[in-house]
Amino acid sequence: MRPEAKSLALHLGLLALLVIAQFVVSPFHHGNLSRIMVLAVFAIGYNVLFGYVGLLSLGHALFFSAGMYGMGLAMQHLGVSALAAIAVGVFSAFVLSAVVGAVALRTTGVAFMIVTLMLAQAGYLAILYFGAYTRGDEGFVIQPEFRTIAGLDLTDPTVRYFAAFFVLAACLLLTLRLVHSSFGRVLVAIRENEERARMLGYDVFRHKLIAVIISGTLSGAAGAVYGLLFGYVGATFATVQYSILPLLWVLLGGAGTVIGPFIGTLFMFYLIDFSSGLTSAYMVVAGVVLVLLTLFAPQGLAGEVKRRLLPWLP
Amino acid sequence: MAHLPKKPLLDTRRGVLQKMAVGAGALAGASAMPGLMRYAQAQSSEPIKIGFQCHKTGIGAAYGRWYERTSDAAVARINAMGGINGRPVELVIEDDGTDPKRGAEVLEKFAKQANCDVAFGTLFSHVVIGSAPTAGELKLPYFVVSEGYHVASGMLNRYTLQPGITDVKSQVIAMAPFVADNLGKKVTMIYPDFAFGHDHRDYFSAAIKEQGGEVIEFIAIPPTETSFTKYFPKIPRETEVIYHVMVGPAVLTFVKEMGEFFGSSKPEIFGFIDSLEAVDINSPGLEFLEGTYFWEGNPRYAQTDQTAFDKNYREAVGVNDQGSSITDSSDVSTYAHMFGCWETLNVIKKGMEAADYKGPDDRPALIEAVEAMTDMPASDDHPQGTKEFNGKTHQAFGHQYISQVKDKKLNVVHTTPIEAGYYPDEVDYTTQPF
Amino acid sequence: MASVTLLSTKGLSRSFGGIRAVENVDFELPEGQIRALIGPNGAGKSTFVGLLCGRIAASSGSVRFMDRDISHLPAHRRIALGMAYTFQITSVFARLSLYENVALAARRSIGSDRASVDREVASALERVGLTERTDQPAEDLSYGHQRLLEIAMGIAQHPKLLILDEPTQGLADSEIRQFNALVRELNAEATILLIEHNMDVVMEIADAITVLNFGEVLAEGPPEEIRQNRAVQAAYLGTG
Repeated sequence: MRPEAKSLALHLGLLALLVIAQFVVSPFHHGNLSRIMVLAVFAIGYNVLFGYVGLLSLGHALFFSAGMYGMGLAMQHLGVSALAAIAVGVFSAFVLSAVVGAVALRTTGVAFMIVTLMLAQAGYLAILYFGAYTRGDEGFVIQPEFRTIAGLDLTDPTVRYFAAFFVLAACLLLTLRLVHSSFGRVLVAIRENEERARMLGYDVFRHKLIAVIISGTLSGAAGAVYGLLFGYVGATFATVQYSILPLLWVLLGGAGTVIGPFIGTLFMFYLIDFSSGLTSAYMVVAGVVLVLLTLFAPQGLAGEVKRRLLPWLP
Repeated sequence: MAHLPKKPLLDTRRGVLQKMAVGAGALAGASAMPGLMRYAQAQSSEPIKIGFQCHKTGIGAAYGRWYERTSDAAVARINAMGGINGRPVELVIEDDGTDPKRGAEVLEKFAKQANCDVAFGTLFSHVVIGSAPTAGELKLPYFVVSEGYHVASGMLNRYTLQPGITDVKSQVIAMAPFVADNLGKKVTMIYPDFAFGHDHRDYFSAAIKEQGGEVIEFIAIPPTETSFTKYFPKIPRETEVIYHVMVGPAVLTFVKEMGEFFGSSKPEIFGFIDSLEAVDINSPGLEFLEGTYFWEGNPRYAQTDQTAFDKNYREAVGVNDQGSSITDSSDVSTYAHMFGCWETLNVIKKGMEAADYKGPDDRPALIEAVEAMTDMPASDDHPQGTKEFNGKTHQAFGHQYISQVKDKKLNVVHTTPIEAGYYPDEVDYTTQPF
Repeated sequence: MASVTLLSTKGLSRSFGGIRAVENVDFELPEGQIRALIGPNGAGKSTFVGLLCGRIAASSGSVRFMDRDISHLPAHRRIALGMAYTFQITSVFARLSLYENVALAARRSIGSDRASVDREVASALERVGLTERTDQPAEDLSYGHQRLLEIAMGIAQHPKLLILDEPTQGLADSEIRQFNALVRELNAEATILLIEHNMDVVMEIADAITVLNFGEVLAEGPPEEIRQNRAVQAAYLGTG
């Protein structure tokens, strides 16, 4: 099999497993998987920029929350349908990521991290400042009666599972397509050697900007869907913590692999869930595991598999 | 109850359960104690599990610590009295990190993994609001101890109730008559520029107007601010009362800088103790607060007219007359709020008894039983004082205390009547289907 | 040879904090030529080609390429017009395969059609003699082979102008002979501008030579003429 065919088979296999999981796992894990699948979309979005272009953003909470608030405010104040509200959320993240990209890409390295961090902080403060509409730090509830798409009740666990699955599958296959495209390969080239890519005639700034937009829009889609599926829109999702989380998920799972973000999100979700049952210092446990992984599997879980076993893993 | 059992007798709930499990030996021991005897007869029953969504980490950690101690003490007392419907009560504690996302996940864990009967105990409003939709979907009764207005506003759902503590809207409304009659009618408000501060701004400015007063200046402080000197010159000269509700670690700086700004000639100052929960009123820099007034949900310092209920409650939780831990006087409690955990657990008990609660199928019956409650007289179950529960809005209303700092102690100078905190219903949850 | 000018500069200058690296250079390169650019270390050769392809911004002066003023175009646009540039210090995509290195160079002009890219990569690698192990990462190659990979990346772009910055550095003698032949072969399609220290290579393959010294053009002409030039001998060739 060609590498592309192998990787397509692998990712379709993962999706098939997730379909099967819906019927066999306990209600607890079923609910968790619904959340993980949406959060993995956030991680996949983050990975487009971090894993494939090598740009470390500390501001992706801005895009996630732009999607979430775009969706939530449209429903709350404009009374649009759930599907249209998702579109508003995704569009908000799209516009915002274009603006952030245009500004932040004038910097590199640490400056890029700081600029994205500051812009995200500005976004968080804006949510608090416009408290009359956003309900500030408290946030607001999307009432169950509005959480339907085409007559499907998104508060129903099975419907919600498949909604999350659908979004994950779409994003996973989209990213797979992206990294196999010549555009995606140029992104990798920029990550590996930016100057060389430029001197092959590629417009590095434009490629990076498009990558920021794809990354931010996917993150925004995750935020919009998360808010809708779980019925809450709140400012904590705009805090720096939610910029760090996708970075950790991607690092854990394997930056620059399509499957890594999902693996990392899944792993970290259960790591926190499990260790919080052991001790209230569960973030320390999570921290130790992260350090161990960094020492022994610096490429992340999927990255290590790619290095040792499956070099064709995209 | 004339007497509360001392803690060692029922050190931990797990301890009790293990004893039960070992059988005869434990029974022999238990039979010496009337309390244990009663659920010894129902030993085959599974414990009633109450999922406690606790802010062990994150910004709510200081509150979480005391919420946990209070809840442990309340459960120990309930078990000592025979549990609920003859079954022992077990608290299943999960940290929510004071984070709404984790909060919702924790509720799923309670319902689906730990098989909890109900969930309970959340303080921070954003965690309540983030978790409540999940509680509604799980059909898991969710008893919050948040003082937020979110329940009574109608934003949440039939499964979310707040029977153990008055909400902030009611608290603020109840303060206005005292402020207008005793401190002054021209008020300047200083509040953090986020939802908690906005609630105070909106409810108090409306309430003081009804009392013939007015807020002459609103000073909103951005949440990132660490120094406040530039805001004080905005306080108009004719201000008679300053109303402040700053929270977070910057509050000490805030008070100190306000003291430096006014020197010895200050207007009357009224604040919410939320600013200084878990903070020693004798902390350096807080001298300026001498003579100023505070809302207290429950008086931190034991008053001269202390009720027997408060005395028993303090002893059970392990709080001294100054409001600190009996084992470590520097560990100041969140006394103005944590009684809500104690009272809520007793409401859950009464509700389950009224509904003859046997298991998750009876959850709707439990909700209906709590909705049917009205009077909650001051008692060992309700040591903070009498409450009226509004079944339609799922919200309790109680007395509020106004204390003055005198000789570095908080002395209650006024207790508001319950009716002072009433406002028209904005929701009727009883009409929502289960 | 009456010919069309492919590339020219007028008054091209660049100074770095007071040091004039390239000073007022007027330069013309006719289409189809192999031009060598020589000069002592620090003469400004690499800076000059950097100015041509836009890696370095000029302080003043202009660059024309294919009858078009490209002075204000960024590097990638100049490259896209038909220049290819190989770095003095090897700059390949170390962790990517040989195939992918060359494919990246080929795709920009021929698009993503898989079969054409495959063909192009195979042909470019064959011309430099790197046909084996095309799936291994470039970092596994010896230094000399990485230089050849760079050239393959240049070839795959089918440039009008191929700029080679010290291409024979690190090559063995036998490889240099192959290299000379390769450059002549490439010259059928492309004009070649070559910075080179190895005078044997220069004398053997260059149609004309430009000598830079202290950022200025010292001399220009056919190899024999340059060999005889006293000023060049004094400045650079020493005893000649």
